[in-house]
Amino acid sequence: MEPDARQPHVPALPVIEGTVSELDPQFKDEVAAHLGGLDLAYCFQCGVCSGSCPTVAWMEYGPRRIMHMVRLGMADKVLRSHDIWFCVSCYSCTARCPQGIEIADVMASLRSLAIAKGLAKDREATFSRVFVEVLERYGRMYEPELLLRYYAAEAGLAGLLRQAGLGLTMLRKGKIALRPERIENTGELGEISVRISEGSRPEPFDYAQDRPVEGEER
Amino acid sequence: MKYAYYPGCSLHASAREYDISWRALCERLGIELVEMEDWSCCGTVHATSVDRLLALALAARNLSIAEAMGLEMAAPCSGCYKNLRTADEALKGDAGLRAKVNASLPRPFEGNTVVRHPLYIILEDIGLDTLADVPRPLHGLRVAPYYGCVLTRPAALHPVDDPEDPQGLDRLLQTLGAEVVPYPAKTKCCGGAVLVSHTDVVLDLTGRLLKQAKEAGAQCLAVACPMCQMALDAYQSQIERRLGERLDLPVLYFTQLMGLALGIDEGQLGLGRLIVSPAKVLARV
Repeated sequence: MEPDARQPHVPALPVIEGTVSELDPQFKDEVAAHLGGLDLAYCFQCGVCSGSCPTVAWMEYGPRRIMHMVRLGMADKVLRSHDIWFCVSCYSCTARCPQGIEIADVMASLRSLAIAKGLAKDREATFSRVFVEVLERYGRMYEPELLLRYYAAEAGLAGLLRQAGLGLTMLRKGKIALRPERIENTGELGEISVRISEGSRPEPFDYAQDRPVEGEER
Repeated sequence: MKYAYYPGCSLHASAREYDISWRALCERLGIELVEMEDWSCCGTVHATSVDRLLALALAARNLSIAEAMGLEMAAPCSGCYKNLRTADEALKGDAGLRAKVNASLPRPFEGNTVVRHPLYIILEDIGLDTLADVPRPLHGLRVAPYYGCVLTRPAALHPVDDPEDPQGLDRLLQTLGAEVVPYPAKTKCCGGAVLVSHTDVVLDLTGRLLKQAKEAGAQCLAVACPMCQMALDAYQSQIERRLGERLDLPVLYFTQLMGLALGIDEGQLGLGRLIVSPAKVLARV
C-alpha cells in the first residue's frame, strides 16, 4: 500500500515476529561485504540519519530502524520494505552520521540485494531495472523508451496520461530526443555487464603486489 | 585550460540549454572543451540500485576515455559528477575493487584523471577576481542559489566546498552583481531520484523549497544540475496546483546567469528553452 504523503505514518517499534529462524545472522555481513567491508557495528542508533532524511515521512521504519534491522538479521522485512526505495540518495544521513557510516550507500546495497533476491516490489525498482536495460541497449539514455516501458510495466495508461501535458510541453521545448543516441559499439556495455556478473565470484588478489594473482583462473 | 567534456544524457536532451550556455561560457572564458568520444550513460542512482559493481564499471569506462585524452574531466550534471567522482575515488583507493572492475572493461581504469564540476572549475581555475568587472552585472536580481544534494555530497576526499553549507554558488552570484537570497533549503534534496516513480514525493519536496525561496524574496533560482532543474521547472505547474498557489519562479542554470552577466548574446544561452519563462524577471536587470 502506498504511504499517504499528507499523513506521515508513525510506525510501531519493529517487532521480531515468529521464531528466531526468520532471522538471518549472516545478513549484516552480506550487506557489509557488498560495500567492501563496511562495519555496521559502529551504528549506535542515535537517529541523526532519520532526523536528516527528507523522505522519512513516507517510510515505515526510516533509516535508523533499517540499520538496526540489518544488524538483527531481519533480511526479509528489510528487503521487502518500500523504505529503501523512498531513499532519494541525497547523502544527508551520510554527511551527518557521527560514526561515519555510509548510510546512503547501505540503502543502495539493500536495493540491489532486494532486486537480486527477487524481493523488490516498489515502482522505483521497476524504473531502475528498465533504466539499466535501456542504458545497455543504446549506451545512452533514451527517455521516450524508458518512460513507455516503465509505464507499461508499472503505472499503466492512466499514469502515462497524467504526465501527458508535461510530455507535450517538453516536446515543444525540444527537451525530448526523438531518436536515441547510441554509442559506437552498443554491445560493449552488455559485455561489461556479463563480465561483471561472472566476476562476482571471488577472485584471488595479491594485495602486496597490487594486482590479481597470476596464473590462476577464476 | 582544456577539459575532457562529459555532457551526460540530460545535456543532450532535456537540458540542452545547460550544454549550450556552458559551451558559450567556455568560449568566452578561454576554456577549451573536447567532448569525449563515445561516452556512455553514467547510470545515475538507478544503475547503483541494480548493481553497484556494474555502476562502478560504467563510470570506469568513461573515466578511462578521459584518461586516454590525458585531461581532467568536466561533468556539468551533478548526478553524473557524483557517480564519476565517487567511482574514481573508490577505484583509486581500493586495488581489489579496481582489479575486479577492470576485468570487465575493454580499456582498464588507470586512475589518471580528476572529475570536476563546471561551477568549481570556474571558481578555482578561472577565479572570482577575473569576474569582478563583468560587462552586464546582475544588479537588482534576487537569486536563490540551489545546490541540491550530490554536487557537494557525499563529501569528496578533498572537498571543494562544505557538504551542507556550500558557498561557491553564493559567491559566484554575488561577484556577478546579483543579490543572493539566503534560505534554509539550499542543499535540501529535490527528490529527483524518484521523479518518475514517486512524483508525489518530489512535488512535496520541491514545493517546500520553492515556497521557502519565494518567501525569502527570491525572483529566480540558480541551479547546477539538470535533474534539479527539471524537477523545479518542468514540474512547477504541478507543484503550484498541489500548493494551491502561484510561484512563477524561473529556474536558470548558473551558466545562463553567468553568460548574461558576461554580456553573451541571449540567443546563445538557451533561455527560451526554460519552461517557466525568465523574461519578466530578467527585464529588470
